[in-house]
Amino acid sequence: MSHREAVSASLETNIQEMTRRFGEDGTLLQRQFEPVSKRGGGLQCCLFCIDGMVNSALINDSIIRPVVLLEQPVPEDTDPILFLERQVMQTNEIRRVSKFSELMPRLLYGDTVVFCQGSKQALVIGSKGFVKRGVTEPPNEPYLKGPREGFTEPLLHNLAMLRRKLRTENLRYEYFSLGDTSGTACCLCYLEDVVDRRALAELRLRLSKVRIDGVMDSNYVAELISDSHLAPVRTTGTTERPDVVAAKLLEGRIALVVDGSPVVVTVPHILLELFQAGEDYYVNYTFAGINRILRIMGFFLSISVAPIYLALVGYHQELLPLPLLLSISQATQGVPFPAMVEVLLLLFQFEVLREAGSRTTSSLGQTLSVVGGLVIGQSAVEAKMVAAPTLIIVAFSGITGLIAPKLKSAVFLSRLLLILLANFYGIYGYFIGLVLLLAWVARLRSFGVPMLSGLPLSRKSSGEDSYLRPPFRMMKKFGRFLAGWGRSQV
Amino acid sequence: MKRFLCISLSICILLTCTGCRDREENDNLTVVAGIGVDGINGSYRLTTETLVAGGESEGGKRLITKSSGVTLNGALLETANLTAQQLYYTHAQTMVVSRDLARNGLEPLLQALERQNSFRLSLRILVAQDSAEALLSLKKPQEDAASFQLRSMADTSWHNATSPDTALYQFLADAGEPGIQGILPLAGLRTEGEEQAMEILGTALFRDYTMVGTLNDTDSQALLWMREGAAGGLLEDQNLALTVVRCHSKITCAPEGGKIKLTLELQELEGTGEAEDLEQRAKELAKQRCQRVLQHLSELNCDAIGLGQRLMHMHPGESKRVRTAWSQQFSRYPVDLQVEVEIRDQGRIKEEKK
Repeated sequence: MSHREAVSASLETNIQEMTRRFGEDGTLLQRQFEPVSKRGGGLQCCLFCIDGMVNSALINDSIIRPVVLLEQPVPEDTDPILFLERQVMQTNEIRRVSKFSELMPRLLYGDTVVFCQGSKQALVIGSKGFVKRGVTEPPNEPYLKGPREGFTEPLLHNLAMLRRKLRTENLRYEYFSLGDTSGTACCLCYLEDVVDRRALAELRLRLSKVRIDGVMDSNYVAELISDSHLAPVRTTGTTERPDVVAAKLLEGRIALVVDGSPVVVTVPHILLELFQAGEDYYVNYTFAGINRILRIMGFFLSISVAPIYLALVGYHQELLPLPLLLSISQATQGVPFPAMVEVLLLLFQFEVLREAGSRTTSSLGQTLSVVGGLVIGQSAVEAKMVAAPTLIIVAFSGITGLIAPKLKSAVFLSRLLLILLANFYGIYGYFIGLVLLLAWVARLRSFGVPMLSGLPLSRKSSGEDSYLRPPFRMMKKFGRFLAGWGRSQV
Repeated sequence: MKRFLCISLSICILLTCTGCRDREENDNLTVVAGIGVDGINGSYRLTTETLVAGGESEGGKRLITKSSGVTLNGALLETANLTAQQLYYTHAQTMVVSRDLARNGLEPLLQALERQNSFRLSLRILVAQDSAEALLSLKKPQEDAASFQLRSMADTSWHNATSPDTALYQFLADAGEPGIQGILPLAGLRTEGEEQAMEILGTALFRDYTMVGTLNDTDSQALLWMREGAAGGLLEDQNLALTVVRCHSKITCAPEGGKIKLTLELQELEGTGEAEDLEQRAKELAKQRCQRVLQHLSELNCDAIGLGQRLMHMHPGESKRVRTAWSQQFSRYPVDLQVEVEIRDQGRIKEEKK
């Protein structure tokens, strides 16, 4: 059944069109109204809005009330809609449309549509009033020091938070919608004067190619526009913190805000960002440097401890001090499985507990960790299902993996690859695996920027703000090495 | 695609350099703590001290396995057959050879050991006063490994300069180098009531790979002062007991058959003694002991101090003489021994109470 596209001059036709489009939908509210006074005679209006998504007080006070109490006739030769917009409506967000396709998305997103008898246009009045989550600290990125606010779901709120951080006219917002069915509103944010123009052009190109029915979260888009789908590390950054996004915009990056998602995607994204935390810049630089080194070490320990353990106990026993070798031998007596099976079993258990813990309430999560970590682990050792040294190694490997939560999936996959290589080929296999991973990451690019940018690997790179966070007075580039500004100025 | 295939093929070829066939679960391994070798009727009698996980002792269960073979490899193979375990020699710390075997020459044994890549070159070698088997079999199964104790005793003795602590690579280097001879610690058994205990007795002196004599612990001190400038050791007399904290040995040689000047500086001595002429008496005592050792070495034609090596280094023209028949010439070479004693902080030296 085809729909009428243009708004009709007949109010009745427009009402019928709306009724036909929404059918039996009970959430569509319709209200016809007209001036009480004879002096305002001739003006017949009808508004449509979606129940639960609108601010009723605003509609009553600023839309219906001024019309009902109108004591001034519509001037002749004047479109009634234009008259309403200019002289009657008491709202700040208002626009005229002449097509149903233009008004429908807005109506569905909490705006109010007003039709008027005799006008081929309709008014779309901003009246969003749906229930929103309050601004809270993101649970996945908690800070001890620094701003506590995090993004929420509504797009405009998130953009307002960004605007508050960057009060410059160079901050650009580019709106567009994604999702053939969902029509999700999205926004590209960047600073006009520092943005990496090549990355911006590339991002626009990739976004224009996105074809998807619905976008429920920014990760839908991030995955569709990412450089490599098989890469061990993400080529797009994500954060729930406005301060982090603002800082990244200042460095020349581009942020992609998707309506309905508190997670903002930033590009280009380099490897170093995975080890950086916003809090690094809110605490003393020495402490921040130590924390950053701990994160880097934690990552390498997490992917290396278990493979190196397997290589040592399986192939290179001469590298173990004798008391340790004897202690490990003693502990593995009577254990039926080879070391690799023990490691894989325990890692599987650890991942199961982590996943279960993250899906349950915090109180149950604590119980899970106690039951999983202490009871099951201890019982498995006592039952000689696994050896105590293996349990210690896997527990250490698991805990160090939590230091850099952004690398969770990278840690899991890299560790698995290295465990297999180390088990079958010893320390030699471990190093081959490490070289392969490094080569893969070195080959990756994020919107044209190499993933290993920023590391002090060449003379051109100063390595500023890489392994350590220098004091602010010593920072010269403030991370702009990858931005257009950086390329031309430095 | 071509590039991908090349990389994949390279990795596959590289990975064949190692493989899972080398893998060994460590609970299947039997760690060898040390071996003892006796020479009996032209064959080797091998005593292997092994540690197996699971014993009551913290270091594992201690087992002694005895085997024999015409060659070292044959004896090692028999040991493996007897234990029915994968023997793991890399952590072996001590090898004890019997005095008789050492007197007959260690060259075939040590070269076989050097070729065995399962032993570390840092393996410590000791000479047993009697048999190596008796030394390693002395301890009870529940006690700590005898090999480890011998290693610790040799290490402590070296710190006290009462015997050398020689690794396999050091001995092989000394025995193969002209102008210096190898030395090994000498271990034996001491009777305490009804029980016997191990002890380090002094130094076994070698000419090439053959043992030619021994030094007791007092003379070993003098040898180690001169040879290595080793600190430690005690200058002891009726009214004197001084520990050497720092020692410096300097050998200078005059060319063309001139004298070898050996200057020994004993510094920072501490201990007890009568303050009057303390340095002079200590100097005389040290010189007397060093001369006695030099005399003994001359009689044995054994340059354990390394005078020939020094001569060769300082005067390359002399190298031919050193390389050809240094052992015979060494005893005829005049050595001017000068001992300097410097007691620092003399105020700390206390007289013995009478």
